[in-house]
Amino acid sequence: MTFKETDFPSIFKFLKSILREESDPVLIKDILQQLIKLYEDVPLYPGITHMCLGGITKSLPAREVLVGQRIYIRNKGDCYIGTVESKDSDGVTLKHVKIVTSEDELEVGFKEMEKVTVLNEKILEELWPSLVFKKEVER
Amino acid sequence: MNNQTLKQNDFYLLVGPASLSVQSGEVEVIAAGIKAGQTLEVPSGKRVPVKAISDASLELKAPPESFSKMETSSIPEEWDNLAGRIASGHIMGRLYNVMVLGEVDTGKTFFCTYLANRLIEKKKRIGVLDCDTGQSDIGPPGAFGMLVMNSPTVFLSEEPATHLYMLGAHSPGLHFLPAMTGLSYMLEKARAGVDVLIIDTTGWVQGDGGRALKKAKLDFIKPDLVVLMQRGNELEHLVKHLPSSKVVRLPVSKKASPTSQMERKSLRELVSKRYFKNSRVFEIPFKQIITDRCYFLSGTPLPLEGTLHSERLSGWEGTLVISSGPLLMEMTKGWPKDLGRIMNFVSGHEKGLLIAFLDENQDVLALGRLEEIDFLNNCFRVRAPFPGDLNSIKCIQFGSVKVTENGEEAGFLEPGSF
Repeated sequence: MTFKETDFPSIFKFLKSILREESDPVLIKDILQQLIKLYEDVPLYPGITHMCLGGITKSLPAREVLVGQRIYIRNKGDCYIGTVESKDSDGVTLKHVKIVTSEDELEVGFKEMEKVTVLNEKILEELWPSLVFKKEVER
Repeated sequence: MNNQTLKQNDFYLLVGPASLSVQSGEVEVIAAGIKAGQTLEVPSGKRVPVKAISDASLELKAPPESFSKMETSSIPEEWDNLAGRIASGHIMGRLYNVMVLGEVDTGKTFFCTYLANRLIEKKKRIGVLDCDTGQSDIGPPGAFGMLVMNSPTVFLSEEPATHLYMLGAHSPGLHFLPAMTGLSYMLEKARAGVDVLIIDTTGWVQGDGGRALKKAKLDFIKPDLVVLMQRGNELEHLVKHLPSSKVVRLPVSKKASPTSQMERKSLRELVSKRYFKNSRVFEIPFKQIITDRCYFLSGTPLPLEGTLHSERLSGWEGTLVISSGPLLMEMTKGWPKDLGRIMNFVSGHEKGLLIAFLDENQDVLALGRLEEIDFLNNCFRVRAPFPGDLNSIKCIQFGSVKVTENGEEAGFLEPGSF
């Protein structure tokens, strides 16, 4: 082993933690956009980009949200994203809302499929098979 | 303006901005003697100890509170002992390297200046190499600077660098290789011209990058002496492999004060503005020079419709395409299919980039600011304080930081962009 000559690996560790901790795909996308903006602003200092990443999001008590703020709400398996248009003692009204819900089953017609994507989890094996190793069993 | 009378061996602290003129007698500032008739300008943000070598009278242009008496010298006696040790340890004809390590704001530059001045007294030819490109005292920010000293000096930053090497950034992070090649270059220059080289380093001494780079530098320089300027034991991990006879530990002065990020930026810009003060704009034809640390003009020209410039690069590198805007699918439809990876750079983003003019020996002639790459006239337009012969410019080397016309900081360009 030797030392890392760049802080880029720390950014990947951050991405791993985001995937582990966040289930809202819109929030994840927005975090990634902020990450890219930070990197483009200071491309020479990935360590500073990483340092800033910890402060990109913050959780706050529901009653403390402000009118005009874009907020990400998670409730059990569902996510709501929108900008607070108004607020009263019971809750808030959001505008420009996106909703991500979870369903056990869903029927979708082909006509409703504008673009379909699947993941290729074997891309490393296809492009660079010499870098695919057998995992040694840990004792 | 006020007059001060000093008794021999009195010690004072002078805080800049201030001007000190010696009317009679002699004082010493950072081991540099200032005699009757001589004046010292202390810039804003700097403070220096003043020692009366003899009874002296001074004329000061500074608020009275800027000049305060100290009970004793703020310079430890061991600094003088160290100068004596180095002078006696130097073997004629062989370069003696002193490497100074310390975190930020530990007074490394102050110590290097003091040591250099004391060694000049001992008839040694002294070089000071400033590797701290983020807080440059010798040469502009973004470059290693070496000063070969002919006489003592109070502020290294007041002297023009004898040799420059462009790192291209304010930190060696992502620029480890230029940092090492720059060191190699400067050591070669030092071997040819000085007895003792004092190497002032960055304050990056911890974490993966700090450990990796400092160890590499120690391995490469093989210093005769390593000076640790530390508050506790924060540098010990760097010198575990060295015999104790090669390591000197100096406590950090309580007078070494921390500088904020913004103060450090202001100090960098002050040096940069001064460097670029007498700049003018040059046009350098593409055909006159080679380029370094970039892909541009390194391949085979390959005209492609709708582009400002395109060239086939080496092997799998593909094709560099410079366009006036982002590439659109329609533009590329008529292009050959064997271009490989397309590296697209949008013209205009190069504006402000720090560059260096190199001569035929790859020595830096001057640093400059890239105004534009002019594809209509096939030339670079560069602003630089270069008074020499334009024909001596044989290479343009590209950095990663950007500066304004005045030398203020203006952002970055991702390494490898073009």
